[in-house]
Amino acid sequence: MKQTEALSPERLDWLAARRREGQRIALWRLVLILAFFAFWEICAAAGLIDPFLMSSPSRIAAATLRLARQGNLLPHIVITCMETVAGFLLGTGLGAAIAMLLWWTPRFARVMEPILVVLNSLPKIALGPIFIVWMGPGVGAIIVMGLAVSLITTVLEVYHGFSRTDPDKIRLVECMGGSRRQVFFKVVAPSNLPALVNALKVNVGLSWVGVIVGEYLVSRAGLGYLIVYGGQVFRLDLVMASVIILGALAAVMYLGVVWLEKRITAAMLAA
Amino acid sequence: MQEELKKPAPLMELKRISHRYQTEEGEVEAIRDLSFTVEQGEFVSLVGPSGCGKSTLLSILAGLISPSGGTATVGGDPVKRGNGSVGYMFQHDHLFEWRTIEQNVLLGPELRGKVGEEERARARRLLETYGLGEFRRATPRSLSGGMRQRAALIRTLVPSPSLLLLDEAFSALDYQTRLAVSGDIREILRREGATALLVTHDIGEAVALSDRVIVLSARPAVVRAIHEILPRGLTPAQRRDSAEFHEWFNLIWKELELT
Repeated sequence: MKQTEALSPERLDWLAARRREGQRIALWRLVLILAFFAFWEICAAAGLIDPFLMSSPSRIAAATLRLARQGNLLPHIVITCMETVAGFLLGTGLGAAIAMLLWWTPRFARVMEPILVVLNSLPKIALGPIFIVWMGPGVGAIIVMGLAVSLITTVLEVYHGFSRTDPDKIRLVECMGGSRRQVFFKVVAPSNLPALVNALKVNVGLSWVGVIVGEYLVSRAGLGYLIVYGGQVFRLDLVMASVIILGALAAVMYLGVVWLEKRITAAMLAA
Repeated sequence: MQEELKKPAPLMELKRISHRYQTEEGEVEAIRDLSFTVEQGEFVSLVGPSGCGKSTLLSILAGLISPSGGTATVGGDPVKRGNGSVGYMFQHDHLFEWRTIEQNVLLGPELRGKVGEEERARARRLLETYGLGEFRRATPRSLSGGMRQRAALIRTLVPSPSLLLLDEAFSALDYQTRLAVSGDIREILRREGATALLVTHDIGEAVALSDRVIVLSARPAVVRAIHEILPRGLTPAQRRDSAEFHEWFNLIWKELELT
């Protein structure tokens, strides 16, 4: 893949065509999104839909601006983001630690397996009231909700990766006198870094679910609170604005994880 | 009596090794009363029908499992996992992609907590001698299949094992690479004065590389025949070109069919 040699005209054409195709795809995405909003706006303006029930892009923008000007937007965003990041980090960290424990003690893993599978199929939202009683109706309960939603999946996903580590690689380290700890830190953990990053990706989405549900249940602040409040007072503009901001934040966080994945892969290859 | 004392002890000795193991389906007798020796500096191949217990035997020699009966010694001492007397080479190179070649070949000393100047110097010398010097800081990804297997061999040689176990070490390579790499590695082992035991199902490979070929029966494995391939000191390529090559090949082929 050396780029030092002069490229043939065919190669340059191909590269240019590929770049054009990429731009075209990006353009279409943008067009589709804009068309959706335009259609929505036109329908509302023409009276085809009731803007009171369906809102409209202009009303959403106005609602967002109004909130921002009153200084009511940023605090909600900050609190939701903080809860999500906390739930996400706790869920991923604790999940990976439990997965490590399971790998370390195979008998414990065999004992826990059916229990984890049952816990995984349990809708974690059902635990909400319990968390509220335990943690009090506030940020703590919401973070635990975010944690609960992602924890068991992380455990199962990461443990699955750990237990599928190439047995010959483990044998190699054992033949050379490696201890179980060395097997874990020199083989199992590094060869499962991709599985860990994948768990991060899944957990980004799950943490948002957990936190928003948590906010529905107890909060006095945050985007989930704005959504519930907006629904109760029949201000769909507020609901829609919050949902759109939420979508944007989730996308940003996801891109952050993708960026991290690239950095980790690059670091692993350059190490 | 006097005569016996003068004869040097074999580097590796298997005495009446037996092994059974339990599975859901029942008890499996993998090896029965297996005895043979490997002399210092020798290259010995084990051939046998697939599933005849060759891998079990290597695991015993590496000290990963204890045999149900008999004794296995290397350099006069019973084999013990991870004491550095036995090196193991696999079918795949198992180089760690997240480490440089140098970090990979220093894995053995690192696991035993002693990566000193001596180990570094030995690793560097082996890498230099066998054409991987300039790849010291490269990742395995940038090496060809043959170079990767050579790096895996160096990783096995760095802790200076008395005996090398080669577990189908060439069978994951395509035919052409395989001829080149097996010849290459045979030559490295000769130059380093290493003693090696190769397990293979490739009769041609066994005859071309070895000083002796031990033919095992189907499970439970017993020694069916031991052939000394003469003259010693031929390169694998010369061996393959020699008139006797096909005779050996056909003889061992028939012995395997009988099992």
